[in-house]
Amino acid sequence: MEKERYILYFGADESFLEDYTVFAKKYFQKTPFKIVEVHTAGDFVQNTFDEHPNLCLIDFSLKSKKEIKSICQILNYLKHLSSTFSIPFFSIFSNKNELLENQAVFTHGILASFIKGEDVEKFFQLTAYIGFNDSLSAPRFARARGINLPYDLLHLGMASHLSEELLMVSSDLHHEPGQSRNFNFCIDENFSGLTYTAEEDSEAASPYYATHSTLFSIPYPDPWAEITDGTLMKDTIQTWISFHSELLLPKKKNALVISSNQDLLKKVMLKEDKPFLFLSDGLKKSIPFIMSQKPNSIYLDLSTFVEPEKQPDLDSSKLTTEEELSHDIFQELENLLKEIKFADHYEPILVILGTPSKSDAFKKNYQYPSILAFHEPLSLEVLDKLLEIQAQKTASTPTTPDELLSFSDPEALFPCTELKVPVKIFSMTENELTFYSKEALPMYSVFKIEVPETFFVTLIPPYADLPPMLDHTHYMGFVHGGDFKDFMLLRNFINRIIFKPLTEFKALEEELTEQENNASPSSEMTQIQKESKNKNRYEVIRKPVYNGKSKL
Amino acid sequence: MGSLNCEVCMRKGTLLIVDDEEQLIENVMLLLEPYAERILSAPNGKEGLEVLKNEDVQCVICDIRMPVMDGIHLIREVRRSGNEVPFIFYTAHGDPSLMKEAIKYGAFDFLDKPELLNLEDIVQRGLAHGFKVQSDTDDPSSGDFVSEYQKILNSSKKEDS
Repeated sequence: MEKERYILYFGADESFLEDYTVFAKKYFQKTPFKIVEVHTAGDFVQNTFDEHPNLCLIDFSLKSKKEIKSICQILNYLKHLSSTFSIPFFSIFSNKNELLENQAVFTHGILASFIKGEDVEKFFQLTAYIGFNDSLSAPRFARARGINLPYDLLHLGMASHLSEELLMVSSDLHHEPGQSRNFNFCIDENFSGLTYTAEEDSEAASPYYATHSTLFSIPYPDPWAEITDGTLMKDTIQTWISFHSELLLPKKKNALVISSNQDLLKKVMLKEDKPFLFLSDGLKKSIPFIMSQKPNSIYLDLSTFVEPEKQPDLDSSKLTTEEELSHDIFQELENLLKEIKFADHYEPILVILGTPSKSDAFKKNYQYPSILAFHEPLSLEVLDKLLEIQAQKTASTPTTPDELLSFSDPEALFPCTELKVPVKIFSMTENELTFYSKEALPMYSVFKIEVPETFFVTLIPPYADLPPMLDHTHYMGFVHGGDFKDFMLLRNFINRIIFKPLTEFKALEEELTEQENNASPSSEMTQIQKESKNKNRYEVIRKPVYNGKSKL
Repeated sequence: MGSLNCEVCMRKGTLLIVDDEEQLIENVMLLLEPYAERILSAPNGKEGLEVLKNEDVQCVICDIRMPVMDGIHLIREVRRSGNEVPFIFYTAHGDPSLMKEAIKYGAFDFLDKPELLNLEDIVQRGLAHGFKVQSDTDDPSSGDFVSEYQKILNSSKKEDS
């Protein structure tokens, strides 16, 4: 019997849910499915862990900034845990402004967004295509193809740390040292529209839902350069940091908890007031993150990773082989400490819980002085106590100008960045956009496009054979995040450029004539109609992803 | 004596030395006589296991490499029986893989052969811990754990300034 499809809805809008369910019933006629509604963060977390839904819809409409930030933090945690990272999450907002104010949701695990009042069927298609590996019958829209114009898509990233000299940004873009990137830093217009230079790039090291963490140097002018209104001066940054000091947390307060105890992970996720507390359920996979983000304290719940009774029988003449050790948590610990010892100016405190060995034994074994070991496994009470001590001890520690500070406003200060990605737009419908890019972009990366209005584009495994171009990859993305008026404008724009190709990819200034407004691209539709038995629908079948990279 | 509980340090306890080198056992017994009420010995892990089954021991000093049954097998069998007695291992230089194995089963501390630096201090703490383990007063919110964490934080704070 086919496995039941499970959709989880975290929200309270019965009307939306009813509409969504109508389309689910229509498309899953022969497939069992259920849609479960939850209203609290606790139930959401419980359900996600226990039931592993195929997809989750999160209704942010009418929630306060604090609530949105809290839910985003939970999503971020879920996206860093092995058992939940591949669950697709989608958001729902009341209106376009609400989405734009909270566009940072896309860097916390949201793949695409719906504005209430828009076409629910289209949203269902989008969620089902990503959530289920199905062929679907999708509505066919008018397509403007062969556009072939350059455009700068804006990839959504998040700034995680700032100092007077450096800015650390999480994104899905790889940067070689020395590579330039122009981006907007939404937190303040002083930081926007500038070209930054990458110093270091780490993969799988981001505290957000991103594949890369890049350290950029802030582009101050050379001593002999001409100063204009747009030039960023160091004292501007210094003033900004000083003015926002209560929102910036020294790294000394950062902590990472590593445990595979799901009950504990759930409790920590739902804790109020967790100043830059990272969560992971694996030590080996946390190593790139630790070396990039450099948390001050690492709490390792060792008992959740060790089953001593399952250790191989030890022959008195035989040592444990290197191969056996390579999957061993203790070997992973040794690997981590090797990297830490090799790094400059980084000596985190490692607190190991749930171990029968004592601190001195660990210190001598691993030749590392800052280890505290304890027999009891990690619990929320113990963690709270340790974090309290850490907070007290680091409260009065002065920061130095070159110290990287974390953004930590619990009231939803989202330091999002919009990194410019030069592409060549190839085709567009009101449902998808296809474009060429030289960069390797992972599936489910989210971009922003501002033509003809502001929309968001989520890269998906293509469902058409896309014409190739040398040295480029041809990508397809779902268009979403617009309201009813936006999609009407988009429809008109596409109809217009089918008849009158653009010379520059930008919004049209002149209005469509009445003739153009009323005309349908009949020749285009006739060709398509001939190809399909169902006049206005076609079967959506996933194609292989060119570069093999995916965020799910 | 660090943070030893005063009540506990009045009780000297029983120490077991497990080593195949007779001379080393004699030397260590002489050094530790003032700190333990009784000092027992065994020439290998198998005999050490028998002693632990029949005697109330608060701390074990154990060589890792021994004939018949080595230190790793001994601690594994002891832990399987539910005995959490602290083990202090001797290691020769260049035995990191064996130290790693010992850590898995609960090592209290390690001492390098033949120097045995700080032997007396480590054994005293081991004996005190052995009494604590037997009375099940190993509490994560205890003063020892908290003060040790504060000490580490303080030392890292000093390095930063």
